[in-house]
Amino acid sequence: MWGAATPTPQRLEYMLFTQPFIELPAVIIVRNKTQATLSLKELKGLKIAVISGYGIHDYLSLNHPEIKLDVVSDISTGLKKVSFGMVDAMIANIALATHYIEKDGISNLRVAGKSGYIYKWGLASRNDWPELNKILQKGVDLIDEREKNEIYRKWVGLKIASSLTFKDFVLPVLSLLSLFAVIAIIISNRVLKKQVKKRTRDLQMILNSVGEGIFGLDLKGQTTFSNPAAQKMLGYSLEEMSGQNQHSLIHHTKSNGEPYPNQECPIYLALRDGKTHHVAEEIFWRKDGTSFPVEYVSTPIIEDKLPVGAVVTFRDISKRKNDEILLKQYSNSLERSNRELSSFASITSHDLKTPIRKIANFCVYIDDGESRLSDQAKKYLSKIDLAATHAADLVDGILSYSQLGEDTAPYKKIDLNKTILKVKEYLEVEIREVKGKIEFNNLPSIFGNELQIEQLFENLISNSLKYKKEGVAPIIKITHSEKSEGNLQLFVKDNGIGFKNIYAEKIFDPFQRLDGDISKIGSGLGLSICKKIMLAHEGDLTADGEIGQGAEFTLTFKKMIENE
Amino acid sequence: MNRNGLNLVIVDDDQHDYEFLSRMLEGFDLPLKTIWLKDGEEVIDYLEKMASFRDQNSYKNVFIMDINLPKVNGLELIKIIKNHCNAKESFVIMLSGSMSKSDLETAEKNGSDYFLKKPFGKREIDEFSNSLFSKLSSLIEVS
Repeated sequence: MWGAATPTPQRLEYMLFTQPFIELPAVIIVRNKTQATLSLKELKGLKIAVISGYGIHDYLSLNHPEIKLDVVSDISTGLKKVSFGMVDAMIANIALATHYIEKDGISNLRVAGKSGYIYKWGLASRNDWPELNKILQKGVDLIDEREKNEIYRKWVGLKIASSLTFKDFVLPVLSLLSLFAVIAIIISNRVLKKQVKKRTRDLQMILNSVGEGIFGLDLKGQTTFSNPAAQKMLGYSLEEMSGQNQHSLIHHTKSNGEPYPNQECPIYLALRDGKTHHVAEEIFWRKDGTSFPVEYVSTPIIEDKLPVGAVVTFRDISKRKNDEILLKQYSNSLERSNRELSSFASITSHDLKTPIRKIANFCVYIDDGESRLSDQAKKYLSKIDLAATHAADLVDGILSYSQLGEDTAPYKKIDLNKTILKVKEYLEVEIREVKGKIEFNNLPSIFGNELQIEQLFENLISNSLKYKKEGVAPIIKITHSEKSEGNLQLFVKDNGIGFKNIYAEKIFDPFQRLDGDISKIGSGLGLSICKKIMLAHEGDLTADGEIGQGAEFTLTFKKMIENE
Repeated sequence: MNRNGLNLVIVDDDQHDYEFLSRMLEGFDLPLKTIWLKDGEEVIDYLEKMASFRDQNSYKNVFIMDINLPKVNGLELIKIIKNHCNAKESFVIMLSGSMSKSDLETAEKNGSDYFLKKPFGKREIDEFSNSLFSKLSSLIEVS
């Protein structure tokens, strides 16, 4: 804020002004021996000092070019020039001039008359604080016309053009300036108080409404304030906490029952090292002697680069901890149940397999080629055999499907050419039976579980053999392409019966069959197992088919690790 | 006493499987003396008895043993058998319903000489029968 300022265009850009509460004339100051009363007209051709940048400077150079101006940097320089006869006169505002004549002890000057230019002084304030300007204006409005005149007469006087000496001006002008200053201070105090009150209210509201406990500490580690949440969580009232050593009140013992020395306390450490300390889990003690787990942050309050206290915010993490325990329990029980399910499937399939095998095998012994049996008996016997075979396939499927997750053999580099050769050996009989052909050339190596990758190709190839076209020898082509993103794709393409492409996803579902032919019944899990294996290798398996044209399976290996 | 014959010890707790196997062996027409033991304890008893008659007994012992046995697991039994007899005196054929690769590896590591999957259906029965027949024949010739 500025006590007395004239609004100029430049100042108006960043300041707000009250209405002028006083108007001061710019006067013509000359040496004592110049007796005449002067006005601007008489100054023509004379050398006149003005202060650079002041309102009068602009005014004179614009309206009175006939006057020779000696522009000085400040009033004291100008006054001295008049006093020493270096210029003929100076034009400056009466109050300012009076003050400096007194200050510099210049005794040979007098006011010779008004210049016609008038300083209109108001109170100026920052324009981003418009309320202040309004308040100031109110203050100024309180001074009525009569009082203004009185102030002016009393403190400045109107002895211009008479032989008034500057000494007479000094006291009144200084007093006037002091009065402005006092008014300004009172007004700005009132504004500040209001602001402080509002801020305090806002802060109080925040402290009261947050869910986190907040308390303040002084350098001795004693509680200076606490918010309602802190009081509620700890069970202490503000009075009970204030002035108490916070650590020995609520932080005295660790969760393992050992005493917690002051020196180790991260909250207090903030008071010493001036750094913020965050602790994810410790316990605080309530008034009733119980404890609860907390997460807290101790932030030092720094003044002049030194900690003067700390603010601690904390949160009760019991619920989070309980949730974590619950989650862990759920995850354990899920894991257990998965394990049980898997071992149940494994045991069941194992035990089921034996009686099924016996059914099938004794069927063979009954019909051992000696034709004692009727044709009908033979026919039904072969159906029993077929059903037993199917049952065994299902059981095998369930067994390997359930055991997929259990195999945690480490991944290694697998040469797919070797894998296919191995699989060809396993499936030798099946391939020979249908005169099948498996074509592959220069397949890459991949990184994976060897047994699972073998099973993957075994299932895919036997699937293609099974769904061959009637009377057409199956040809299975295995090719690959390396994609730019480092992915590797393998294609297993056959010339079998194919399938409608709308079933492209369905064929991977467990126990899905697209063909009703009973002789083709398998475990119903072959392709499901393939899909599961590919997913376990962070890859994917998709199918493409066309009725009568064959099927193509695309295996995408996402992570291709070379030379490991 | 047939000096070139085999002591064939079938170790299986499942009577049906034993019957199935012994009928197949009957058809082989080989000089075999078949003994049926139901579990590991019986095998250990047998081994102890056999040791005391070792000098008179020139028969070669061939164990046809199921992997899943009560009391002592078949895979463990291989070691016990191999510890009792020297390699020339005993030959162990493991039978398993599922050709689990880890079982196969363990069996081989423990000293099993041969591994056969329990057959399922006509084709596998024929294959099994052929393999077993030729293996036993070769053992008889060697001994």
